[in-house]
Amino acid sequence: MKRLRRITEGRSGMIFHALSSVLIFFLWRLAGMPSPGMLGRLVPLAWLITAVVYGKGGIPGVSIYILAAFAILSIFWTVDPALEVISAACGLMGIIPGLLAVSSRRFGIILALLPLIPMILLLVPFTGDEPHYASLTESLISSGTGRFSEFSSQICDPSENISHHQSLYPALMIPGFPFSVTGIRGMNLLFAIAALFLMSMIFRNSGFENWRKLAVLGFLLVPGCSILGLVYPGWLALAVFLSGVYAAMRSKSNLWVITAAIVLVFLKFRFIGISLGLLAVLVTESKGRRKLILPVTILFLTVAGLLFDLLILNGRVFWVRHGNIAFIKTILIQPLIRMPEVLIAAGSSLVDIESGLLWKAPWVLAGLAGLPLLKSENRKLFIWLGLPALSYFIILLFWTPTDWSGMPTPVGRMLLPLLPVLLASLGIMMKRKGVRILVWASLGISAIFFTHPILRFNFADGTDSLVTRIFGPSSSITEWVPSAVRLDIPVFAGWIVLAALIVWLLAHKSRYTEYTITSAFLVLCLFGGMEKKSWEAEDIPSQYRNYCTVYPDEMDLELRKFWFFTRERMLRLSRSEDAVILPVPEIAGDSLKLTIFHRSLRSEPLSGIEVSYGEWCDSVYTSSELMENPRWVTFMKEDIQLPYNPENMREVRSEFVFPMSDCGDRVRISPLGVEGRSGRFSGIFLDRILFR
Amino acid sequence: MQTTGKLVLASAVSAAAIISHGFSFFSMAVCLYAAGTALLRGPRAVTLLAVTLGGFSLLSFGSGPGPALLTAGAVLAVAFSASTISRLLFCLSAAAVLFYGTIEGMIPIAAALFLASPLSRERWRSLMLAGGLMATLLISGLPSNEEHRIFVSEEVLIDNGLIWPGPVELNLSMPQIVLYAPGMDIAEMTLHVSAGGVRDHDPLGYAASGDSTFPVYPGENILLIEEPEFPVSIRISRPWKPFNHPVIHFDYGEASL
Repeated sequence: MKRLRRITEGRSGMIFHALSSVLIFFLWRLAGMPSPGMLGRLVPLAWLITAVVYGKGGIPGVSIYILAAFAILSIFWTVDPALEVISAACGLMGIIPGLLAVSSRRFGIILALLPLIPMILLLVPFTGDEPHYASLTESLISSGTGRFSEFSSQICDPSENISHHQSLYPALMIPGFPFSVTGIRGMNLLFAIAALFLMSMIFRNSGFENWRKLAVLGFLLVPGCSILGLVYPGWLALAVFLSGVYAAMRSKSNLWVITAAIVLVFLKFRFIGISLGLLAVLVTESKGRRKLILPVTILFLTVAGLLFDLLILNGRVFWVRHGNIAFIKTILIQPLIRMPEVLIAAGSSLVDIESGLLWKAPWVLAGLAGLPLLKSENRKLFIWLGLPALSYFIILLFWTPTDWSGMPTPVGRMLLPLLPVLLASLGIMMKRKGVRILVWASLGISAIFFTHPILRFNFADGTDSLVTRIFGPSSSITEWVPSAVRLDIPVFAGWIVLAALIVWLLAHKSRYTEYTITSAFLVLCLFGGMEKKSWEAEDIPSQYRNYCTVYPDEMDLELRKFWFFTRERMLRLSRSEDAVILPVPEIAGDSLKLTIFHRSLRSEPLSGIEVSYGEWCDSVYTSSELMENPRWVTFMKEDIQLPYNPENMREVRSEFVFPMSDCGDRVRISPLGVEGRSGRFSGIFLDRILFR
Repeated sequence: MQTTGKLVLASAVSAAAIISHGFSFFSMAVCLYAAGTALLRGPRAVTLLAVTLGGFSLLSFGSGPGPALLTAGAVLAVAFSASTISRLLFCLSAAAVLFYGTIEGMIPIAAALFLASPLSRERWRSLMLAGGLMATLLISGLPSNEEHRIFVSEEVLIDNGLIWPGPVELNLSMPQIVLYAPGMDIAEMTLHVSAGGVRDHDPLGYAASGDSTFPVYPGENILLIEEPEFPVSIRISRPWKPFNHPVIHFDYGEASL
């Protein structure tokens, strides 16, 4: 007995985590929650591993409350599909205080990562760019057809035999390849650990007290957790970037910084922004003769590299992809002609519901608020982490303003290079009012992404998979959240202003910060809970439509990437059986006004829309006009002729007014003039339906 | 945050809820919950959880998970709030949800809340509430929504037929899928369904078309329905039972015209 007491003494935290593991395992089965064989084991396993790594220490107080929330919510999971997601996330979130506590120990970062590894390896679907990278690794070690050979080409590859991905990153995954998907993901976990280790070292050397905890938050929070352990080069690039910063700050090694800058370009060309930032800092921070020698050396190395690529590698790194006039024009049109798009892309990185960090990682607001403080307290760290991140971000936006987000791969992955500077800034802001709310909200979202990783993936269609899963496709919340795909300027601008206000309040230590954050959340919830009066046609759930098809029928963003005017999908009504039957919301007044935004191609006979409401019926026949080429398209290619596709047609707005009497509670919208017609673009393409 | 500020915020939310949704037992529950949260004295994490659950309940005002989220928040707050008034307000909020009546099987939880809220010791309250949750499971099973949670499948016209694409997972939170074929005369349809998660070989649910029913057994099922009457539905018929996780995967359905 004494021996048992001696063993358990001071280990209440470990015992708590172990018992909680058993409790969650038992409750999951008692409540009959879904996925008992996978999620119902992996969540308790995460608790059990936390218990093993926890060592000596008390019970983390917050874990008890989150565990209690899981126990309560698990009883209610059958009430609605959303509760299953929330309760499972609570089940996992309970270990986070333990992981943060573990982080202060020796090898704390690795110990804190261990409980999540089984989930990352087993639960996250192997999709997006992952199989393509795996096929590249496979092609480097075997010439025959292997298990990933069917993924050897992608739509955006420059030619059949040349992938738009480079070979260095796939080559570095070769040691893990014999162990298949687990092996190559394991290699990426090693890259992430290296990056986190370097980040923690930089923070420690810069005088941060909570340097290990910050590194752990780095992989727990979006964008860190989005591709943690997945086959994407982001974490490896971060490791290379941070190795350059670490070397420069510690030993003032110019050679290492230049090497890191070169390696980053060979990993993936988009990381050239980080390289340029690193080299810029190197030049600005150098003194004396070096200030002259360094730019000349860098210029010489760049020219030599380009010649080496052209003459020895047959242009496989740069020239085959970017050595053409179209690429130069692409770079030129962004600041000259497409500045509004670039600005929207910049705003989207923060507020867009699908790719913006505000919705997945609200802690970023604290990170942004702390930047001036970081600059004044630790200018060197600010410059070394900030300038490469900024130049990367700017190049990302100017290069691909409409698809900088890289969807449909996990949300936030493109913004990973911004993580170190924002974390450093967060480290300074941590004790301010309101910051913890943002951090815990972000950790809650990360917990959902760990338990339901499929919700990380969006398709640039204006809907967020997490929001749709939790609140349902019929929720009004979609009207109040900003989307770059379905741009609503007042909503978009409103959220930018709100984000700026919170950043300002945080930066000025205002006592109204917490009120503002809580009020914003509650106001959004109140608006989101109102009756739906506006429908994006392509979102209309199947219970409100007969047949109809969504155009384009593929989810893949690549199909909409080169649409010039809109990237929204549309609902196509092309057969007489197709119809939309919507519930009529409560409207004050004596008439119901229905506004329909739609497109239809010119044809004989004309296509039209019929709207019926009880005994009343009205119809309109319309055809859309082809829009003119945008200026930037003409700049790229003068003789381009826009095809007669729905996305190139001008939107038509049709209004219908009906008397509000006992006409029933449904409105039916159906196409006219579609009998006996066929063709790819026949019929009506609905965009939006508004009730007033 | 100061208590006065919290109360102002709670009053604003309550007023907004009543103005936008009218007066109902659920609106009342929201007002009581908001007041309870404003007066909550306890760990910050509990306040944050209570605000989050309460906020989410506004998003599905009075329907879907809204009442359940409010009740869950009330149970959590009663367990850990040090303020008796706050606990009583949460308790009344749960009672209003009970009267609102969209969730079945709530009486034991409400009773436990009434018994626990006056108790001053956190440990006793937690035990009482845990007992209440267990009693709920024993007496009425898992609380369930009175609203029919039905997934309506999309129907897609193809060259010479109709398909209902999948996969769709049915479980106890969404136990039914309905298939329509508006304006079509269909001679025969085939449903590809798999099921599992139970510890016996009895039917787990059924497909229904008019008066005919077709059992769905654990494992792979291909159901052939001649001259189907629409809507055709597939439903899990097993009620909640501990250590059972009934699930039906609707893979797809097809019919020729």
